Amino acid sequence: MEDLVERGVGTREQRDTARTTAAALDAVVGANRAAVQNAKVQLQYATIRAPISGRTGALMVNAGNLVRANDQLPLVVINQVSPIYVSFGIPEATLPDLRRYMAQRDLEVQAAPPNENVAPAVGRITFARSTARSS
Amino acid sequence: MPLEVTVVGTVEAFSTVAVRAQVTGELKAVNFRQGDDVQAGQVLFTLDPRPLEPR
Repeated sequence: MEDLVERGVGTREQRDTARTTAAALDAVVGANRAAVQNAKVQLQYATIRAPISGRTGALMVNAGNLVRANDQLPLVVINQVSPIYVSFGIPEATLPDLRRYMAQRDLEVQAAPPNENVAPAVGRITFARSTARSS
Repeated sequence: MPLEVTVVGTVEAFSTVAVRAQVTGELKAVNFRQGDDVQAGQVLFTLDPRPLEPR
């Protein structure tokens, strides 16, 4: 373009117009690329995958229903059960011992279902809430 | 002599995730049964993709 202007074939105005047109078309290409990307993402949303491994709860919706984006009611709830937490309270009288031994090392916890003769699962205390519970 | 305390505990999920749709559409297929163990990344639901496909 510069060359054509220097040789007097084209005017500076024509050069500027051509430049502007090229920039505008570049922008259109960019916008279309973005639209394609967006469409791809939207399409991916049609396939809903499990975000974590775990056990599913009750199914809240059946095939054929219309589901809404970000609806209040989830389609299903997944609980991660491995590893798992067991929460329990201890008598207040044992609290000083717990504090003392927890400071020294990780304390072992054995958990087993009631009335079943199975080997208890072994875990450790990850967190001790400091509040008392009335009951 | 180890100190042992026996109490009743409650089992709690390590984490809980509510699965929701990110787009509105007709639910075409449910690819698991409620109560199933699922793996991360496993396809749980398929929505009708037609309204989402580029025209």
